[in-house]
Amino acid sequence: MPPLAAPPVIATVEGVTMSTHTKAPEGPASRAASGRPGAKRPAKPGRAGRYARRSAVVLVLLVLWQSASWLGYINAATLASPVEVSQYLWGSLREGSLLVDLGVSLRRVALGLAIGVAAGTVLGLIAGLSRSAEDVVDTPLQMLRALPFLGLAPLLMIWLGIDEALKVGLVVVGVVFPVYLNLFKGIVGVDPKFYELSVVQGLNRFQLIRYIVIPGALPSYLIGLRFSLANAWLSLVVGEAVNSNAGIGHILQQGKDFLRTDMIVAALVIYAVLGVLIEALVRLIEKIVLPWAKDFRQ
Amino acid sequence: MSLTQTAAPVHLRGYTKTFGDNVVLQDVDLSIEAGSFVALVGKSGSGKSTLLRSIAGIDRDYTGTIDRSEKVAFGFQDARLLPWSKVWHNVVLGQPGSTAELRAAAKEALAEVGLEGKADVWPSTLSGGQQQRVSLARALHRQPELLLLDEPFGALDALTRLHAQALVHDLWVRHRFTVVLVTHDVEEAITLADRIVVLSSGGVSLDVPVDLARPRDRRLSRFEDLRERVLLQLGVSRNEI
Repeated sequence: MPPLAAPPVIATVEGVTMSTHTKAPEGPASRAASGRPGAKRPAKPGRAGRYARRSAVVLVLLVLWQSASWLGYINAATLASPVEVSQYLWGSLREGSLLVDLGVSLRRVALGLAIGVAAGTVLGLIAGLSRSAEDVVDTPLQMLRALPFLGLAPLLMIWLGIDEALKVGLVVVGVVFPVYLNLFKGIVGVDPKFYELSVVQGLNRFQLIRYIVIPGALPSYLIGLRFSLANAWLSLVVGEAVNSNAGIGHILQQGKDFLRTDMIVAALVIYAVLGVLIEALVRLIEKIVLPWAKDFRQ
Repeated sequence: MSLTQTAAPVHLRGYTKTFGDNVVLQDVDLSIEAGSFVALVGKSGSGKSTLLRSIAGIDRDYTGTIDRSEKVAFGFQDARLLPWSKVWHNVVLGQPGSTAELRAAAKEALAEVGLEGKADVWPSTLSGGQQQRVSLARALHRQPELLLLDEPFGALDALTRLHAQALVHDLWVRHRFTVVLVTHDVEEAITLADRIVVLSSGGVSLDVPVDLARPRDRRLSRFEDLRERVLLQLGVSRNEI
């Protein structure tokens, strides 16, 4: 769950009270804790310590997995060992095919995201800013949202064929809904107190949108963006499972066809790493776009 | 900030406000003199805040007429700063001008409330009292002829409240705009205002001038007498005072 789960304005108010209250007990409370003579408590592991511990867990799991393979408990036809997976990844990287496949997949996601985010943003803006547009746009979109978007795949195959358009189209449908819904929710959820403020400050409609509605809806919009990225990834996996001759899904398909579990695991690892990287990218965007929100996100 | 600001009067004629079948205020006539400091006092639900919001234009769902200056500023009980805008930007919200001009003007207004150094911070880093001062700076920047304050000290702790009251008084003395202050704190009303209007049971039940020298001395017996008179009007019994 993203840390900005609370509605934006409420979160801000919490931020205010938190920042005024958390500072207060610093003096006497911390002195009482550290000032007892002879009561030496083991130092809590810091950020680096926890990071090391988490890494160690991953390492141990990998070693166990590798040992099980070497000792013959896991057959390579069932599940390739970490060494075999890395060998495959290294080989395809040197040979150049990995980067080509990566490029093809990233292009599909980027294109689908661009179209889906643009459409979701436009729909969210017009529904959020106009009551009559809301009645026209919101009802059908709320109905469509009840559908699991991946269930649309067969229909999209008929409409778009089984080539690139299908892969991009699936990403688009996965992206549009979270972007639309969260932007709309963000706009509608802007604290009405700020509308009163806009009256007494004499703001015109354009100023109201620019200074109050858009910044107020931004945290929710970014949550939508996060969900849409997660969906984009799901769409890619499903879309690339159909008739892929390039892309990460192609590696997956070949692995299946040739019973090469090292290729299958390698493709899954790539999907996972890309997912983590994109998540980090969104966090970075949040940091840049919501500098005022950093207080309550800690 | 110009010190030769003008003040404007407020005139209400036949002001009536209903919520459903419930008549909150009926046929209220009230004239507020230019440059005066009037406190509107009443119990919760007496309609004092609603009346102020109607004067401000926030609440337009009433009958009757309200005449007032266009140059009006409003102070809310909460500071109501936009958390996503820097302090200086909050002060000049919606005002025309170049960024450089607005920044300079904002700093000038912030200096009046003693916060010139806080122009470039986020509102959430300020204390409650500081935030309320920023909202006063925002009101001042509009160079109002009429300043409407809706329990602006209600959310502050006792000490901060005294400072904030003194600040509002100083600003009023310096700028001489008309002030209408809504409060349920009778002592606050007597300390600051030169006229107290009590709203109860649908109308004005008491309208008294405060003929006490400034700064007001709360220990004077005339202060005490007036306080008792207003409290009795508000339905507080003699042994509760």
